[in-house]
Amino acid sequence: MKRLQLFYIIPALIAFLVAIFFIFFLFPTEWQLQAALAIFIPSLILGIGFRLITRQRIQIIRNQLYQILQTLEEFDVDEPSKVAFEESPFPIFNELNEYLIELIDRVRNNFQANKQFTQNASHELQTPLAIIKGHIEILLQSPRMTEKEFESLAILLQNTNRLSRLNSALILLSKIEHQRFGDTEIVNFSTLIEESLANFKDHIQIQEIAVKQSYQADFIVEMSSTLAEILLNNLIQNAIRYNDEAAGEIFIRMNAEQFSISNPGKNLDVNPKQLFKRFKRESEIEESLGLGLSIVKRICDQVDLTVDYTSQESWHTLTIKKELPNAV
Amino acid sequence: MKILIVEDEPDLLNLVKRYFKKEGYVCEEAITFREGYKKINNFEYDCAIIDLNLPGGDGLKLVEMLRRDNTQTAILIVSARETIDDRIKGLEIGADDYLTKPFNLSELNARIKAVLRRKTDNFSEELNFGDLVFNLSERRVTAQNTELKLTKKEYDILLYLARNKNRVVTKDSIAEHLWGDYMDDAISFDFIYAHVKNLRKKLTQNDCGDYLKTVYGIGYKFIS
Repeated sequence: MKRLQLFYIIPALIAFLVAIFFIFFLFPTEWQLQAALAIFIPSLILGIGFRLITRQRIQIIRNQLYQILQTLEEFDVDEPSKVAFEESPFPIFNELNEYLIELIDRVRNNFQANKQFTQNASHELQTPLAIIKGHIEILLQSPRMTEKEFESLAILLQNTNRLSRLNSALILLSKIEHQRFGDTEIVNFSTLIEESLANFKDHIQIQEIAVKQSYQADFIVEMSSTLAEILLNNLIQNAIRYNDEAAGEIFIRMNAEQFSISNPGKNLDVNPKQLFKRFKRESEIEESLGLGLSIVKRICDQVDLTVDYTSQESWHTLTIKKELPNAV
Repeated sequence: MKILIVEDEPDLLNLVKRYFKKEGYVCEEAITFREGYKKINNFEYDCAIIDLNLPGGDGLKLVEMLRRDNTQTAILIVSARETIDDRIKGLEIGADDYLTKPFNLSELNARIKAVLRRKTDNFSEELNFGDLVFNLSERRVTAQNTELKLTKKEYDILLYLARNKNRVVTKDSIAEHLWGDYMDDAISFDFIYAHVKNLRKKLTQNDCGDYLKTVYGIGYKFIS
């Protein structure tokens, strides 16, 4: 910074003195004119000089800001390569860079720790769960079990299974949040819906649910096909699970901008706004984990889709819509 | 029947060992990569159950090695790694099946029986359980020479229970066997209940004994 100042100020001062020298000794006219020129010309030179200096400096500062922006833009939290900024002549930039590097390191460490947890959690928690489940299975084979003991075992088994499903769902949520499903492709939801309905064929059949479809155009999104599958399976599973027992029906509507899945069912007890929060659910169905819709929401957030719940005359509808690009 | 179980979690290892000893198998164990490596090099097994995350190395290497030296051993990978990529890689290297943790022992048992059957020299299409004869390639069941008219799911349930004969098989495990982990709740259990009821009806219509016993609140048992 000091060096930079001298670099510009010394030539400016020299130019200033040279100008005064020329005016007084080379143009010996009237003193008023001399005085006027003596003020005007050096000021002009100084003005131009300062303008050049500031412009150059602003240019340097701008370049440096761009460089920082570019480095930050290229920064990938999941990549181990070191982030480096160029040394700057301005100490304030060096300070900023140092602070940024520290921040980046911290974010990176947190991200890695979180990622590590996600990866380990499946192994570390699923193994003890497998052991518990296995031992219950072995106990079940014992011929000398009383009815009361059997009842206890049934409850143990039920809850272990629930714990195990809960664990898998939480691991899935965390994986989605950490964008572990990076590979995108063109996903056509109308074909995927057919596949998902086929997966639930047995359940649709036993509940005697009539499936109706009204498609105007294909709903196509570029996203991870695994996530799309999980999204649809959750929506359809919900539509089956909360369907009207007497007159089961699922109505799927689709056009290029959105699709919706509706089913008749009991009115909700919870506030619709709370539906997408974790562990908010219609509690009468015990097996429900209360995570299905928050998984749906999380996936939508990830790929610029929106999900909305509406209800009309005991029909419940979940609509998935493409987010409008920055509508004004 | 000689089985090698490579698993670093001692509790899980003992559990699997205990379960298969009851089936009359000879079980050997390895809890590290090195131990597995040595056993595979020095002995022959009819079947190997291999965990992928092992202290000292990747279980996939053991699978590769086993497959290179011996084509007869049935290999089943059991792992907490659940991505499709891992699964495909395991099967490509030469494993016969891939099961993700946590698994049901009845599922492991059924898979091992299926894999072992495919591997044995006198490969037979038929499987006998008392009066019942399963034709596996045609997916048909005959009882005293009359064919039972079963739906696809009824056949799956009956075969799964038969492969785990004389053991209690839980409803959850049946649901998972039929649908993967799509849905294991009341609707699935209703479905299983309805199908077992139909199965029973079809079995008694054909003068078969009562093979299917209900274990209240838990599941079913195939008795032979």
